Amino acid sequence: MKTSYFYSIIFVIIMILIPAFLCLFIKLIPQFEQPPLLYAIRVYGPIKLLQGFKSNADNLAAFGFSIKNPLLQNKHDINFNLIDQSGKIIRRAALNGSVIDDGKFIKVEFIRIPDSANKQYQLEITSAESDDKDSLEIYASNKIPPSYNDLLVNGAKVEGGLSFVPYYESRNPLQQITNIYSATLRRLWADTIFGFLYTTILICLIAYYFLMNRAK
Amino acid sequence: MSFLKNKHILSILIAGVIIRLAIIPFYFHPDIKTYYFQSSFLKKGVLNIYDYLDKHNLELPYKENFVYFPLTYYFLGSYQFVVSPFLGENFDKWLNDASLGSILQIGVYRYLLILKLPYLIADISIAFLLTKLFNQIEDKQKIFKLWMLNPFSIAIIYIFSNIDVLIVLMTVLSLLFAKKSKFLLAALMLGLGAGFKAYPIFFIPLIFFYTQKWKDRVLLLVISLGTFLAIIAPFLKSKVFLQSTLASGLTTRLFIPNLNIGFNESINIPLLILAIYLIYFVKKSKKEFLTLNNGFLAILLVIFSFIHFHIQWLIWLMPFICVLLVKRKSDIGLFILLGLVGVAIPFLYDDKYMNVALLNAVSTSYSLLPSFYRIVNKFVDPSIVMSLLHTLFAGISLFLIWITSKENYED
Repeated sequence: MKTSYFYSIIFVIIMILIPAFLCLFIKLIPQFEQPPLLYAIRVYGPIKLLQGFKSNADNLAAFGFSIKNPLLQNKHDINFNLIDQSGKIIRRAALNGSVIDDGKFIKVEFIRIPDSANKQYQLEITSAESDDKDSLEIYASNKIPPSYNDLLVNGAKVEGGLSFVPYYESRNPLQQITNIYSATLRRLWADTIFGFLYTTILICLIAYYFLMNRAK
Repeated sequence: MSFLKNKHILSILIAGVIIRLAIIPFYFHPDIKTYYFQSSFLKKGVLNIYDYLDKHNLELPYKENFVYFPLTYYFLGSYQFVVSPFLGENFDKWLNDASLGSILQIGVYRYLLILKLPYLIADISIAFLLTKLFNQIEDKQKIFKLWMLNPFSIAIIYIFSNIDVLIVLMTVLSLLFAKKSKFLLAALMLGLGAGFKAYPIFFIPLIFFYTQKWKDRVLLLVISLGTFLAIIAPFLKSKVFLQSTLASGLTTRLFIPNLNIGFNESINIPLLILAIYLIYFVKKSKKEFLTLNNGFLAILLVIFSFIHFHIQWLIWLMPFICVLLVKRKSDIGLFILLGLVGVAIPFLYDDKYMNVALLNAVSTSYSLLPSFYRIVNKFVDPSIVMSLLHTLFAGISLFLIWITSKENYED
């Protein structure tokens, strides 16, 4: 009997510690949650998107987008240029349409920028080789984080912003583990009544279990 | 309920509930959001979800068809309606938001707990029903512990969170009614279970031959198949329904493993083995409920041995394995190996939601990790590994079917 309880406890500990273990392999941390995917903006030929945002940490290293590639038709490059406050292109990246599944979340990585904290950047997106028949479409949203600046489509301001996520390279795994667990607990207790009830029920059950087994 | 006065049982129940509650809110598979989204149209008056999703596909955030039979839609849709006050006003908005970041919204842990609550109720119900299959208190305690504390069931039900545990409840009820010689109720349970997912239909031939009287056999067929047909009859004219349910998944995969014997003829291997087993079952002189239990298990082991399966389907096997292990604890090592191999195969699919991305409810950073498929692919072709594992699974399954078929196995 005690063996089965032992294995059950080990199982629970493993399930709780799996996130921590996998954290050690996470190299990129998102700045915020991806904004909702409310509409999509086509990128092809002469169309140039320019999304401004403020980076909140050092080691900016990637962006995540949700991109539509209807019927997987597009096989051309989509180019991403990161422009700093002085207007200089400091990073370039490209993806080919053939690796972009329709509607999937993809990430674009580049060499990290060590001193990116609290700096304004613009992300320029083009796909000159595509045409309007096989254009890619980048999801956008009108529910955007405060760190966003303007979204310009061929120089004209558009309401809302791209539904994208900046990522930062993780340099301290232990700090990362702490951040992930504390963020999880914060989200749990932000739903106040549920968080309180859930935690209380769990603690009461655990306490009752140990008292019951101690009494035996 | 006097069973609960037993402190040992109460202790197991509380331990089992604690383990489940610790996991439920924090592991997320997107299927739960997809089918609850699809089921949400019931409260808007949609009765034929198959045609509705096909007609409005372009405007919906989720493009998948509804691949389950109608009872799944009506059950989940009704449940959602009943618990909507507890889900809150933001729940529908969350359901409609297909973005990756939506899983980190405030309230998601509450949603996941409430959405998985029917599975928790079914899961604990199964534990108590399984105890009714045995008379000795020791056996009741054994099976209760086997079900409540086995990690395979817990992980499959609450991490991959599919509806399969509801159908498992029906099949366990069917076994219980058959043990009590209430064959018509057993047949009804199989028919109702098939109204959610088709697999209980495979058990009908066994219950048919388990029943001794021809009058009961005929009624059993009428009730089981009649219930199933009554559930799907309103949708048979819908091409989308036929394509999404009858012509997909389990039903078609069973016909793939064939042995070509020339002249455009093939022998279907799983059906061949099932036919041999059925003949053995019919010929077996003494049939007890354990014989029926082993028969249910044998059918499922043959099916899994010869098809590409989803990990959540493995829960179908669990109650019958637990019943068997009460009498034959010496085989537990073999069943643990079967379970490990069975779980390893889907873990190697090229799908992050089979492994790392299940933790997206904790942090979406996990979806940036490579899947096990990608890691293995750096060293060897994963399909070779999966094929070897599946061959091992089939070998262990066929061996288990053989040893459980032996006359003195149940002593």
